[in-house]
Amino acid sequence: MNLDQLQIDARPRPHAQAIDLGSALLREHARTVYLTWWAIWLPLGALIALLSPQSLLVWNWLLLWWLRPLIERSTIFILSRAVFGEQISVKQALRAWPSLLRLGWLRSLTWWRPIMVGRGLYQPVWVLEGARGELANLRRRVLGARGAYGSAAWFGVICAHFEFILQFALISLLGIFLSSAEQINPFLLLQDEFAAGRWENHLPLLTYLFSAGIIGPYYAASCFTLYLNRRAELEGWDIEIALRKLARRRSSQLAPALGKSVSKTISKTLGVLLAAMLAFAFPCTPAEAAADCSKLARPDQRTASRSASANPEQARLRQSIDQLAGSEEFSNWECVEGWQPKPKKPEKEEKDDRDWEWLRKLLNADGPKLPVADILKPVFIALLIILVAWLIYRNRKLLGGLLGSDKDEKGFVPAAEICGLDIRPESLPSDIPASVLALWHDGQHRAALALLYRASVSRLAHRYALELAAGFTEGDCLEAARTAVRNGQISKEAGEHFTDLTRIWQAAAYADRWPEIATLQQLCQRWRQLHGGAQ
Amino acid sequence: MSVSPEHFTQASDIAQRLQAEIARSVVGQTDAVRAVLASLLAGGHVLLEGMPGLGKTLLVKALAKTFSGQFARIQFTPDLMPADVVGHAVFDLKNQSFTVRRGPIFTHLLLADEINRAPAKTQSALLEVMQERQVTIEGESHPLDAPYMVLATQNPIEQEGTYPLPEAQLDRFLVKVLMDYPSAAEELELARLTTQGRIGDALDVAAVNTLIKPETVATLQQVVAQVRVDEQVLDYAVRIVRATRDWPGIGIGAGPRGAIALIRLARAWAVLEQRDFVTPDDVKQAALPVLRHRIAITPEAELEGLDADRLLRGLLEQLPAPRA
Repeated sequence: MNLDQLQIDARPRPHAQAIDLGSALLREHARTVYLTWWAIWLPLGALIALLSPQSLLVWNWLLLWWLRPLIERSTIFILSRAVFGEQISVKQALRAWPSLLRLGWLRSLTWWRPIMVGRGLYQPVWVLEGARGELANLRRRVLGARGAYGSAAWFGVICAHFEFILQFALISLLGIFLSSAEQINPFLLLQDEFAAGRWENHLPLLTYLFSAGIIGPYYAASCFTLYLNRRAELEGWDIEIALRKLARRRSSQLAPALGKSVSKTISKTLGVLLAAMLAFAFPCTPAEAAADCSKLARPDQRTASRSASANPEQARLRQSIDQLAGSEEFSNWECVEGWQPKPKKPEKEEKDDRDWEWLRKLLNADGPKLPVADILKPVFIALLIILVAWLIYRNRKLLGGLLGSDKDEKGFVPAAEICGLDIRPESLPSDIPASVLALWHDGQHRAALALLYRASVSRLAHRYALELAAGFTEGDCLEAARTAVRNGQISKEAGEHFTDLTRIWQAAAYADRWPEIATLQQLCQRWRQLHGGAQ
Repeated sequence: MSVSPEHFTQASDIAQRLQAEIARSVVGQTDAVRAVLASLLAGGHVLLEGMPGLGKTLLVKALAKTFSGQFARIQFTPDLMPADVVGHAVFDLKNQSFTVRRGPIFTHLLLADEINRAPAKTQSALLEVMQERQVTIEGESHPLDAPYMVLATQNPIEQEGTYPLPEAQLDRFLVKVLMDYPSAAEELELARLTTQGRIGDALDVAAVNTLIKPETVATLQQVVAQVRVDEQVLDYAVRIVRATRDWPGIGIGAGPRGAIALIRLARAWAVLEQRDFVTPDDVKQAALPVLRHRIAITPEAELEGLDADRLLRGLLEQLPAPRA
């Protein structure tokens, strides 16, 4: 790997940019990548179509999906060469593909790896680095850190959605065209509707072939550039490339003046500088940094801070002091190692601090203490309860239907008003026939007939529990009564009485045609026989 | 003009017999037959919607035969011109003058088959005649004979290459009648009747007897116009129509012509029910055929799978019936 030949700008990028770089790279080499992909993809699909049993034709595309990580290797191979300026032809890529399969093909297809949505990030570990076992695990952990695997996984989810949409759209489109004109069914292909041996049976596979054939290379390319970005970040490719450029420039400037040997020296110096910078960029671990206590020089500050002795007395005193200090009691030296938390970083911007200081004071326990959480919690719970209650109330009919609760089970509530007449039992007089006749004799013919009619409807609704809605007309009530007679809910006589009464009431109410008193008396008498006089 | 109860009874009997006579040829489709007959009595035009082969032409032919009326059928096509419908003036070389050649529109019952296949110009020509009941050719007005009724058909499927009727023109039709598939028993009876001792599948209305003359239909229409409508019933009809304007799911409600049509059809319905007064039930029954083509449902309701009939049924269920 020669970083000087790298065709992309190897600076550490945000993950989204790194993924986007993959699409740019794919655009550049789309012809080779897609042709290679389809050259493997199509025969593989044809083979699966031929070998699948008839009963599995709707779902055999899943086999193709399972084998897809192996096809993705061709894209990685082409692009890994392309980023270092090596142009691979389709033929070369196809020739190289079988050898790529040897690099952990079983690993790619087993365990959780085929269903791992971010597998594109790890494919180069197997394919390009050839890592295996524990080393591969370690590499995966390192590469997937700092959210790189998360980005690859989310990108995988997005690509899977696009694939699904494309495949489903194709299935629906073909379903619409293939279904009969009388009954258009977009899901025809998923319903195993075609006879054995028909070419239409292979269409689900074909739709997957098409959708994955478009999205698949895109996913592999983008994950590959995410992998490159992660390596550039970890290995400081950009720094290395920059220093190499600097070294080249300096050597080319100095070469004519100082000769070859000097330029070599400068190159070496820069090399050392590079090593030092890399060491700085990747500081050693705490274990390495902490020196062995036994190797540490004993602190001897006394001798270090002494001035030169002025007289023999002082020299003698110093000697005795040193003798004493050198005794075992004063020579205890201990080296203690331990962990300490790093000091917290100062806040980024003091300005922000000032802006939000009032809120922090308000919410912080140090400031004026307000029970914000204590207030908000019950408020949110109450709002949630209200929302749920409102949704239940709004969809009560639907819920009633789903739970299969009939009106009978819930207890049917009879209507209070039919045709504008109050039919609640409590609104009626105790002796209805007597009241009807009294009103009639009083000259209130309409009121008399209305009372008799609403008393009859009230009986139907409240005594016989007929379901009468507020919008029912006389005809609807009559039909309900006839149905009730057929069902045995009310007697035939009661049904006939209600029919006669309705006719008379309609003629009176809408045509001002009033019955004879004898007719009314007869109706009242029949009413009394059927329902009894008093409430 | 007041009509005596005897006349009402007579008119009602005739209406009943007409219905029974049509039923001898048209198997099933009771509601459609009733609505078409009621429209004839109310002097309105009918928009028939149904799948091909449900007996639309047979119904019109049978109806025409019951009153010995003339019957004409125009198959609307994209290249049909107004002159093909209403007629035109041609120069007669023998007489050296223009003579008017009357179009098929000069009849009692006109079946405008697949009206939405003709361009707007031709549709407008027909709809204008429906409204005015007279045809103007070369500046000369030609009144149409009474009774005059147009029965236009539409196919609910195959909307490709059609010119849907605008709402303003749909309003000219008194009712929109939906013809559904017959029941199993009716279909069996239909198959037996149309195949026994018959050659081909030509529609046969031989079983239908002529009961009245076209003039009698005009008299019947006058009788229907005299049917009593109580203020409360009138108010109920108006309330129904007004409710369509702000009912959830209905984007455009019916106009005032809706209430007028509702009362007209309810009157005819009352006669068919052998009554000389209209009850709220007549209005309620007339509401669906009269209003279903006069309202436009909102896209949201359409997405929820609702149609005009379902929305109107909901409206009628919830709208209080007249106060007594």
